[in-house]
Amino acid sequence: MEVDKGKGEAEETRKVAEADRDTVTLKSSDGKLFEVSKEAAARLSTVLAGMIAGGSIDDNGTDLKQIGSEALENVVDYCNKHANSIPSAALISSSISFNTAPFKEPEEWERKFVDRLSHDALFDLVEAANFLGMERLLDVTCHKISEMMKGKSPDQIREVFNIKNDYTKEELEEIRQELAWAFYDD
Amino acid sequence: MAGTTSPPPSWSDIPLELVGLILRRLPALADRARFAAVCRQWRRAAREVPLPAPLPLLALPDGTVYSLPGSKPFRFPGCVGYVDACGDWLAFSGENGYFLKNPFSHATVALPQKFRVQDHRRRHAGDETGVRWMEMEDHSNRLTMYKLLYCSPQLVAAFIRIERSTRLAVCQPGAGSRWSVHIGWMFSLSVDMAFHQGKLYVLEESMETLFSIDISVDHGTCDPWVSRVRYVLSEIPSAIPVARNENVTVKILYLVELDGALLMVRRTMHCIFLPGMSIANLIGGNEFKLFRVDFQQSKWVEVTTIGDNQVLFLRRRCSRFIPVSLEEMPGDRIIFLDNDDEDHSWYKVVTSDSCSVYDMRDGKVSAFPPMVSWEQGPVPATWLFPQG
Repeated sequence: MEVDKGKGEAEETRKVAEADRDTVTLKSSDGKLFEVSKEAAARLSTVLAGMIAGGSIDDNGTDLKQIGSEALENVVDYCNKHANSIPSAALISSSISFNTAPFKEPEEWERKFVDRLSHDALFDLVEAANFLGMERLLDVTCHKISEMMKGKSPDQIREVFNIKNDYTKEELEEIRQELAWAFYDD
Repeated sequence: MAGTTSPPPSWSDIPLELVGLILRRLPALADRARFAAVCRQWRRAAREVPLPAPLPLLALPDGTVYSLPGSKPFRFPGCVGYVDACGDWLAFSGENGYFLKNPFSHATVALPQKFRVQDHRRRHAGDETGVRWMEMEDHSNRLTMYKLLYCSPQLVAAFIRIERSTRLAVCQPGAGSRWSVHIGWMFSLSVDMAFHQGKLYVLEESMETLFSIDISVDHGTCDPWVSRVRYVLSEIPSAIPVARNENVTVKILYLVELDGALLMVRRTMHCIFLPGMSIANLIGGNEFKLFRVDFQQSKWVEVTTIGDNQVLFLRRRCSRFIPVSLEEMPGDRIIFLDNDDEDHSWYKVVTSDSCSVYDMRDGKVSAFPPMVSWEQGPVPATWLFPQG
């Protein structure tokens, strides 16, 4: 839902004013503007909820300097999709403690939402979700990442995530001795 | 965070709090271990973030382990040849007696070889405690030890079976100390024990009786000993249904700690006596009932759920509640070994064993992955509960 910056400034101002009632405009680190449902943003992001409540939302685009446009587009897309989906019972009780509560399974559309992302986009999205305090989106993205690791050897994980093996020979030998039982296909 | 023009992000730089969120979703110890082996930063992160305990390993006596939930079989050399298990400790019997070894950290704890019993014949009025001890001699042939319980670095407890009786013994770890065997109280052959809020409890099967154990410590040697066995509470009014005809019900009791409460798990199985046979055939029908100790009112209170976020891994000698996520493994279930009973040798000898799961919500029993069965040896399979 990127706002087309090619249009005249007057039109953009009008759009923003119109949006004042039920959407907020967010600005990515590279200056792109996105509109998101105010209700969904406040419900899904503790950071945005705080900004909305505290009146620090800028009608011309609230600066989110830490978030690139691709990640912000995904965040906004997720919020808007969420606003349109019927919340399931599992989603309503979000007040349980972060660390001890059983994880809520991603809904089908949420799975699809993260499945289509490239690894880089997933990385940026999980960091954006973390920055914005979006517990549910963190659940969904971290679930996806953990699924990508399950049952894989360290070599396979390095390959999937494009990570360099930075251990020295000695360290690798130490790890191998300590954890040899847990490795296979390695 | 990268903008569109920044270089692609590196997964090795993932923030610590996200590592925690990801590792939480990897309940299998093997997956956590492999995560930590990927690169230095991940290894450091995996060590730093506090995590709930991983799911246990299922260890078979031949050294094969399964890292739950459902995995390929691993060879775990540190597990070969154990005789008993307790939490993340395995007990081995070596030339110099029993010792405990942690197969993950490789820590080893020697256990005493010598046993002492209270000498009631010579009570000295002038003695501070009035207790005299004598060495137990020539115990090796007629004494077996089972259910080692590592309570604290100062206290290990075990049941000692001498001929047809069961005694409680305690010691402080270390080759130089001694087991103090309590002979004042003779338990039946089927007992379980648990360490709960700094106190040792013993559950006796025949009467469903719970005892608390007072431990005293020698001033000189710091050797612990059982100074008193206190009756806490007894039989549940609604007892096991009376067996009809040739059908009998076999009962196994377990004592487990859960969230600051002490629980008795009563497992019942149905057996049938075939004509002319002195041993019974198990015909299945596992049922479980849980009872919490209400210390204030001195009674057992039935517990019908252990919660959606927990499962109970049950084994006669080594049981524990483990937190689970709904997704990985639904909660409110008991995972048990089918033939988890070295104490009842009177029913038909079964040669193979496997895991099953009991759902607290509907009482149904189903097979539990890994769908393996194994030959029963002199030592049964066990859960191993790593600290994470």
